[in-house]
Amino acid sequence: MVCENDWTQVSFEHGRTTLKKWRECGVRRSEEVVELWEHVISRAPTSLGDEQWPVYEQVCIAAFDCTRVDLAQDCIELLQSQFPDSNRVLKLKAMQLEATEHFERALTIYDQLVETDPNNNSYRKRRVAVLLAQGKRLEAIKAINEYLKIFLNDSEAWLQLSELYLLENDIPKAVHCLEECVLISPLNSMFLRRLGDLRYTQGGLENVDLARAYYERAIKINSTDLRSQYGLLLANNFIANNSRNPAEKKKSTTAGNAALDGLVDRYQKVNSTEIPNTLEKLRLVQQPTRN
Amino acid sequence: MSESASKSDKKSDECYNATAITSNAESLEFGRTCQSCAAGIAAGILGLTGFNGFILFFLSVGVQALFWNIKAQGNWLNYFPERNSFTWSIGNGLFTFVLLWVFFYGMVHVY
Amino acid sequence: MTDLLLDPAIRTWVFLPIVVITFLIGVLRHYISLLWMNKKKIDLENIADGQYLLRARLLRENGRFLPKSSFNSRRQYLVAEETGYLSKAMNRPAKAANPMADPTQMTEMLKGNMMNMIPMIVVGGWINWTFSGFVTTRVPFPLTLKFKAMLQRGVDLVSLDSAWVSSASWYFLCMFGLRSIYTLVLGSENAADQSKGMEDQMTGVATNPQADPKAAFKAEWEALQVQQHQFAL
Repeated sequence: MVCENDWTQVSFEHGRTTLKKWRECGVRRSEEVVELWEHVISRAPTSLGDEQWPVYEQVCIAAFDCTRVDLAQDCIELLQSQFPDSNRVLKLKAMQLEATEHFERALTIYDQLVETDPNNNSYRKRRVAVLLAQGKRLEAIKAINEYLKIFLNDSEAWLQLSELYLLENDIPKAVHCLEECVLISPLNSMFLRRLGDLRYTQGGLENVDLARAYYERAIKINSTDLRSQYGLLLANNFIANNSRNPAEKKKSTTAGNAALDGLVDRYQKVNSTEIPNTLEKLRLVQQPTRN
Repeated sequence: MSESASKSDKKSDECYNATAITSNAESLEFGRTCQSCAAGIAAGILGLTGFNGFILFFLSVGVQALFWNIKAQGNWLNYFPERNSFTWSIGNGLFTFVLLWVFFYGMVHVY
Repeated sequence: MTDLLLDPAIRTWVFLPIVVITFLIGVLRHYISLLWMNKKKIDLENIADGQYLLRARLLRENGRFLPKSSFNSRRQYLVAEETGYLSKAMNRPAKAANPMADPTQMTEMLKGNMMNMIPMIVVGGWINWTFSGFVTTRVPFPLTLKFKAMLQRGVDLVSLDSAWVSSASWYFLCMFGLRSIYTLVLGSENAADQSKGMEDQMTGVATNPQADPKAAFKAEWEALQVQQHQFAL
């Protein structure tokens, strides 16, 4: 969703509801949040009543994102005076340390927070984020694994873990993580597509067959998923070229052609003249089998 | 009166999005309560007695089911796992209806 | 039978006040319970238990999207004889099975029960006492004699038509009928409708795994054991 709004000119009420919406949906539009705050909301923050505190928190986090340390500092001070010994404010402080690259001190605060409130998973997640920021990939993997032993239905964490394993070139483990994601939300086409990607990368007829199934499923859920369409094409081509079973060979050839046609269609709908080079090449490769 | 399901969820292989379903059900509940309230108040003020009142209630249920189905664009199953536009929480609705009916009937006609 | 004529003052001073009081008490209950109920302290093990239960359910429901080997290894992880989490949790020694052993739990329970019972008894008793013996209204539909005992509590007149409602019964009628209106006013997660809590108590629904984790684990374990894997794609 592209919004060509000028966030410095909106009305106070509009700004307030927009901030609320972003806060509740967890949208990360940090620059806009800071803009909205500076030009609109900061004119009269007290008129928000009790809503001002979550707004401060939101603005503070957005400010870290935009390296506006001054603004974040102001927010933290205000929150600190309102809630002198709140863990949430302490977390913000730790995030401030993170933003200014004082990682070790941030880590100690997070450790302390985890100890005082072991049920709150956000502190553990922040710890992992610190480790990632420091580039300690193996330690991050270890920390996520620890975390997932308790909160094992957190698809975000699984996804992160799978990315980390991919960076370590450990594809089977990454597959395992993504399968967890699929278990948790089978309607997310992104998970299905990535799982398809990984299975295709693993290679071998069986895995490519699986990849094809996942791509098909992803397209079924999200019919505009171009990458899955490509994946489907490649997987079908692979099967057509390597399968021993002639019926299977034929089936996947036609399916591959259908996927290619779908791709060409999509491109023509968006841009009627240009068809990208790769697609053109694929088409040429496909021609002999088609005739 | 017919605050109907507005959130659509992806339909594929009978898979439903649980949060969307909950939110849809909440809208239905809201609509049902409002409709029962309105019907109860109307029946009470009109002074309907006996079966007439219940006929009014079921009539309003029918009208609302119609509205809901229009709002769902004829695809009720896109929003809910079963076809229940008529029977959705009708017991609660009846309770509310009877209470308001008795209340307004008492206020207007008994004294 | 000739119609009974009621004094309009009854309407102003009995009929209406009962409705208003019942409604306001419900709202009050909601806010008091918000104030009272401090957040339940759950320890980490309970969270993990809940998460594992959820995971077992997800595996049963969505396992069809995984290839067979992946499904089986996950199932094995959960239900394996010695090492599976569910098997271990099933055979965990029951601790604090007796709520008397844990005083904090006792107070929680007591608080919950008090929230349910005290307003019921106090308000009901008070209404009975203040507005006793009035015939307040008539239901606009005919009822059989069986309803007489229900609707005419506090008014013992043999010849009165069963459609008439006494003040005490009117209070109970309001209490049950206002349930969905509370939902409308206070949002769906309200504490005002005590009848819901009563239902829960009666049927003994285990909404949280805390109630009896062992049984829940056992049920999941069995369900997973018999689950047939079928690849859906």
